Amino acid sequence: MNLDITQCAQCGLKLFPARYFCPACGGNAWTRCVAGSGTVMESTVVRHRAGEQEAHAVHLATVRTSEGPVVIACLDAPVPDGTSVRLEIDDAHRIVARAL
Amino acid sequence: MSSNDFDRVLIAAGVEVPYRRQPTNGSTGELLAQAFGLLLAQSGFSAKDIDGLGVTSFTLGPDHAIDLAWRLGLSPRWCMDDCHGGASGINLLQHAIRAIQHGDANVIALVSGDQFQASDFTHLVENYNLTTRTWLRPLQNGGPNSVFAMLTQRHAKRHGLTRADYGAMCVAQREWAALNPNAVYRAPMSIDDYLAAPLVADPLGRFDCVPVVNGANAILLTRDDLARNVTNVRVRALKCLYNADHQAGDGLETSLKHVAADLWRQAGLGPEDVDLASVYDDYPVMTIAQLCDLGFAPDGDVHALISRIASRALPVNTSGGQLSVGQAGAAGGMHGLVEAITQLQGKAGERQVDNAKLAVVSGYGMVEYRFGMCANAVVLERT
Repeated sequence: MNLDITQCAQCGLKLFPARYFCPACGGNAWTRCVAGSGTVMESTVVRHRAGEQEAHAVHLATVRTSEGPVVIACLDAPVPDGTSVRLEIDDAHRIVARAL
Repeated sequence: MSSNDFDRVLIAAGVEVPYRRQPTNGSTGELLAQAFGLLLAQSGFSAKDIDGLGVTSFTLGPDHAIDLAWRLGLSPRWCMDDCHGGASGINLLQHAIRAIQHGDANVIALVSGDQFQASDFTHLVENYNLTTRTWLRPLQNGGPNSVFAMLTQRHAKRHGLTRADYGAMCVAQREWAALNPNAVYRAPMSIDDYLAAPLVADPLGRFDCVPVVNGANAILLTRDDLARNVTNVRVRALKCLYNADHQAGDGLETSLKHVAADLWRQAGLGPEDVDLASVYDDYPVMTIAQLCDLGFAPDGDVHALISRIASRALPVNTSGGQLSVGQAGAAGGMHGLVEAITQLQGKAGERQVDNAKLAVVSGYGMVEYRFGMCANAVVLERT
């Protein structure tokens, strides 16, 4: 599934996640565009989660999408900052980033 | 408006039900009732004098403020629920002052607290808001540690800081905690202990993340002519701002950056004049960020700021902060306020800051997606 970015029809501001009213101009009419790729700004590996004894490590990244808004995505493998990634939403509703 | 905005209202007491790692046998409501009882004992008021109640808690449900009022035997003329997490204490204070100034209530109790069974905490962090439930929970991100790990990386890069610099903040607070008999984590901690702790989400280690505990805090506000204590605390300035950047920035600046100038102007003094600071410390990076936003590093020298905190030239989070006392859910948003009140009333025991007259307290919290939406600050003065 594509990662959709919401765009204000009045002022053009692109937002993720979607809002009800635009924080820049107050408009509430929207169009959508697809963020198919992005660039990893930082990443981390979650090694411990509350309530789990033997948690499996999860690699996460802050990704600036090609459309502008920044998303938190999971990585299938660790990558250096600055890596270009393809973005999509998988069946578990995760934003997934894969190195291009 | 004039600098006398906060006239005619005093904070008469601030209390803490000592935090505990294990949940008590009672309910969250019972914990809040215990805080309410301590508040009456310390302020000299009877329950019959209390005509206003404000409550913040993540685990009081299905009860709300009005249910708690009923259980406490109160008939409030002013009653409100608050859900601003780490900004809730100052948010409630802002409203309570106006209620008293305008005659809606004369004596207001503000209570906060939580206790978590293991499943409660997981449920809270996975369902913190709709954004978290929709976009973060599927990632199995394990709560806010992961996003603050990446925020810490950005901050470290911008200011040229290492893990040991953030560790110095945690070590300094642990040294304060050693002087606080009610801190949950008081064992001495060296920088080597800090660095050797297991990583939770790189670069954050165990001692960068607040331990979840159970406990409660409460504050009593009164019309000034009704106060029964000799030493009280008054508010000189208070500012809140939420969603300053709508989650579009990098999270390294909080809303305090936008309100600091007005805050100090309203207070009629500057950061160099305060005797201590209580800053919401969910992670050491946010303590540094809030202090910078408030003007405690005027030349942008974060290293110098950390040194002043480590040497106690600037006393910060003198209870040990949440990093050492623990984070009791929504009580975390009142903990720093109670510590500042305790210091200004000269009741801080071994950790008492000499002749503490002025304090600044900041709140921060409610992570929508990548960082907190809310920040607020108050300047307090001993009467």
